[in-house]
Amino acid sequence: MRRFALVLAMAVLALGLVGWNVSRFIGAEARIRTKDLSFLPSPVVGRLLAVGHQSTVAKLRWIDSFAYFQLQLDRKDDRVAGTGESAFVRLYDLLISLDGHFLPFYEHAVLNLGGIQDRPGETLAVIQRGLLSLPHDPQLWRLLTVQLYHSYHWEQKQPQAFDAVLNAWHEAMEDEQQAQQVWDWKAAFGRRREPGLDQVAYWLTQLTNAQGPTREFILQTVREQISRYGETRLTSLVGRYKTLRGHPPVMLQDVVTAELIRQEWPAGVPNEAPLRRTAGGWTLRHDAFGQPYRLVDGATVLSDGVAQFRFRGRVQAAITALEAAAVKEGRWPKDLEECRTMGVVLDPPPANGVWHLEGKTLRVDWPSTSEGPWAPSAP
Amino acid sequence: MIITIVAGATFREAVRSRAFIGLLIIFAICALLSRIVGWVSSTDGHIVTTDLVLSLQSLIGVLVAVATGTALVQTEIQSRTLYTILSRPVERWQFVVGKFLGLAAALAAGQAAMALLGLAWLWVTGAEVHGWLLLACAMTTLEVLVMAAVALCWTALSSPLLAAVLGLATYAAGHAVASLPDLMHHLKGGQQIVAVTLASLIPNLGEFTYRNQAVYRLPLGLHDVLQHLLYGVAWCGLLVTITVAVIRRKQL
Repeated sequence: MRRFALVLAMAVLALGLVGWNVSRFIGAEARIRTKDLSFLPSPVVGRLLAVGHQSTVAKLRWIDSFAYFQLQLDRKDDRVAGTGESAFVRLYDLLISLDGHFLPFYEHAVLNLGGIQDRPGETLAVIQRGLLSLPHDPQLWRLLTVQLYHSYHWEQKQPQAFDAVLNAWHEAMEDEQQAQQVWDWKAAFGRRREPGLDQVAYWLTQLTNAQGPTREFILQTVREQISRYGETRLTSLVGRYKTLRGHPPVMLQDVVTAELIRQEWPAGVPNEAPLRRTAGGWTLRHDAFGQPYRLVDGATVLSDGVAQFRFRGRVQAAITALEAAAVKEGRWPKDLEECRTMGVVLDPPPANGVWHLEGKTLRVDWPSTSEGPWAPSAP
Repeated sequence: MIITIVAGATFREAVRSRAFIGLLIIFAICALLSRIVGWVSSTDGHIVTTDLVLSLQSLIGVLVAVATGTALVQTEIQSRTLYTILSRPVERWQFVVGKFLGLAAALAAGQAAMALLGLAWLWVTGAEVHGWLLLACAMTTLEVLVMAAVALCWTALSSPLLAAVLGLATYAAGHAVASLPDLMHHLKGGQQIVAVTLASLIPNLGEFTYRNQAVYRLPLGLHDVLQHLLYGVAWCGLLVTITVAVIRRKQL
């Protein structure tokens, strides 16, 4: 009997205590935790206190400081009471001294010091410390480049030094794929100098792993941007021609002179330009869809490829209208004329396109050209 | 031959002790739970988990070494089996060396079990398991063996409870001396001499903390491995010799 009472008492107490513990989690709502960084020893003292487990202690201290990051998002002031020192600087000084090989420490430092606190000098110092521990890490080099580009505008102010940094990044990389990233960056910076080509680098990066319809969509997007860039720059060339000669050009090829090209692209002609260098000099090339550029009214240049690309929506709308008309009439039209009489709107296609009724659908045929569609090679 | 017999008996006794088995179970539970910390860390959680598992192996290994090491000789005295052993043709030094070797073998087996369990768990969770982690586990085993020698030595010099406290204090001090060179510029003249003298009397356990680098696959050369091995063996030799000297003079 006494034994039974003991077991019963144990069971009741155990169940009660487990239930008590579990009750804290029932109905608990997620809430943002914030806290101050109350304990931030110097790096040497931190190593002393880590008792041979520097790597583990650094990560546990880092995880504990997540709540402080949240506080910073609201407060944006990390000064420590008394000395007025930066808590983030002390935190990362400690963490990096304990474990200088853990990349997320540097990424967080850049986010908190650079992104939230807007203190580029301290951010740069952290990245440079990181490069001492991880000299071959592409992510750290990328962060360094972004910092120099974004906060210090080195691309404009120190182009040679910036190029030297990119070269140092290239030399530090250990394999071809990592080294290729640097050339991608160089190409991207080059394109960024050309208004209208800003997004091309991004889309080409996306193209690397794209398959099927996604790949086709990206290719068409890139072609549209390059062709529109061609329209803009050729129209500008036409304007320069008129200023120089006092009359509009008779043919588009007339604006392709070395003098005008030097004026239009003083830093050099980019690969995406609507020009091609041949043995005899510069010649016009077709747009990225493989269609020729057209001079309109001696003033504006239009890309047939872009016009065709944009007309695709009209074709789809006509097909939908045709299907609706067939349902309404109870029959399919025999030719385009009957199509129109049934109420299907067939806008005249641009660039000498011709409507065709093919069975139960419509399509537009375009005149074939000597050049096919193209796009810059993916990085 | 006698040393082997004593070592064998000590090994069996140690691996059957509750402290040994209990701490192994605690290691297994903590290693399993360490994955939660990896999840909380949000990025590179596997590295965080690996760090924790390697640290647990060291911390629990040292606890096992101190708990078992301080109890070994004292248990023999309390149960009076020591007198039976020493009444036979067994030298005291043979008894101490046999005890240490048996304890070392048991601790090495425990470390191997922890390494196997820990690395298997890391592999199951998807973390990278590579040869450098095995080397880190081996270095930690060396650290634990030095701590076992420390515990044995303190037991000979004091009571078991005090020996356990002093053993853990030695562990903290042994890692602290690894950071001492960074603090030397704060000291002047005579202070530096005192600090260096005291630090030189304590085993520098920082020699065995390769676990902090192993997780990043930072290589450790054969020369360094041999140097650490020699350092560990030398300290074990010195501490066991001191223990023998004390036990020989002790009135039992």
